[in-house]
Amino acid sequence: MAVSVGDTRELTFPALTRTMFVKYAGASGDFNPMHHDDTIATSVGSPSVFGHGMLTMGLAGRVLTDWFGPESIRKFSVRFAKQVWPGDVLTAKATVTGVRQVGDAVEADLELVVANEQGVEAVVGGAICAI
Amino acid sequence: MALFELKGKDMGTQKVVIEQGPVRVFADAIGDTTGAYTAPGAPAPPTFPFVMPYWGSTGTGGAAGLPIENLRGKGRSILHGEQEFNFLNGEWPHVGDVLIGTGVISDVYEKVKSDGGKLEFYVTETTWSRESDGQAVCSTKFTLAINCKAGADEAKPLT
Repeated sequence: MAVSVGDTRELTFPALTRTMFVKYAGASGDFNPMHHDDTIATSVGSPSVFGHGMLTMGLAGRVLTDWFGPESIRKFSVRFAKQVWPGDVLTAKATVTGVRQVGDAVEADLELVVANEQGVEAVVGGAICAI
Repeated sequence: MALFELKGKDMGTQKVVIEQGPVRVFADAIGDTTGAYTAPGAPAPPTFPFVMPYWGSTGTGGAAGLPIENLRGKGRSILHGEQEFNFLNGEWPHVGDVLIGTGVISDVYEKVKSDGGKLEFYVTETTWSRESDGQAVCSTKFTLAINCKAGADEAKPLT
């Protein structure tokens, strides 16, 4: 597959729901009540439950796996910048920032951003994928 | 002060058998309906290694291995700050693999904030290798961040 610096792919996900948080909790074992119990979340000053950072990272990874295939990723790293909330419509965007020959393989460097519909960035990071 | 003495602490070993059901359920939870993760021998989704401790022999994940009760306190907000995955030697974790994870608290550091507070960071790294041939397959790097307001409690000393 040929890619060039500046190529982008985007994926917009369905609006986040509490059911998505509960499914991620069960799949990951992260039962922090801030992600599924509104009574507890609001009692400590949060407007509501909020999504697992790792759910957002998991969604973001789909841009990479849809583009390059599930086993292409060599490195995938993010910083969690902002929380995500029920109702948020997130879009993950990957941008090629470099293409390198590594031995017999070609690797692409990518920048990755997940933002809500207001453009607020929830997760920012990068990846290296074999192409 | 952050608990700098934790840096370098060995977190021991754990074992996971990557099972088809948990991989399928995890793919479903991140909304991946491509079918890439449903077959016997399927690859694991790229962020699945983060949850392997939960599905493995320790049964716990995330901040497990850090003395989380010592890190709680007034004005101290605990966050998942950063996360990194590395896939090593051209390898990938697959359904059916038996992996051994070895963990270490690789770094502890602080950053002062302009408002008089500070951020404490605790980094754990786990490398997963196949039990059958010892080949390293992937590694995960977890950064716990603690946002401390000015005047917040300090971390409780280890006993």
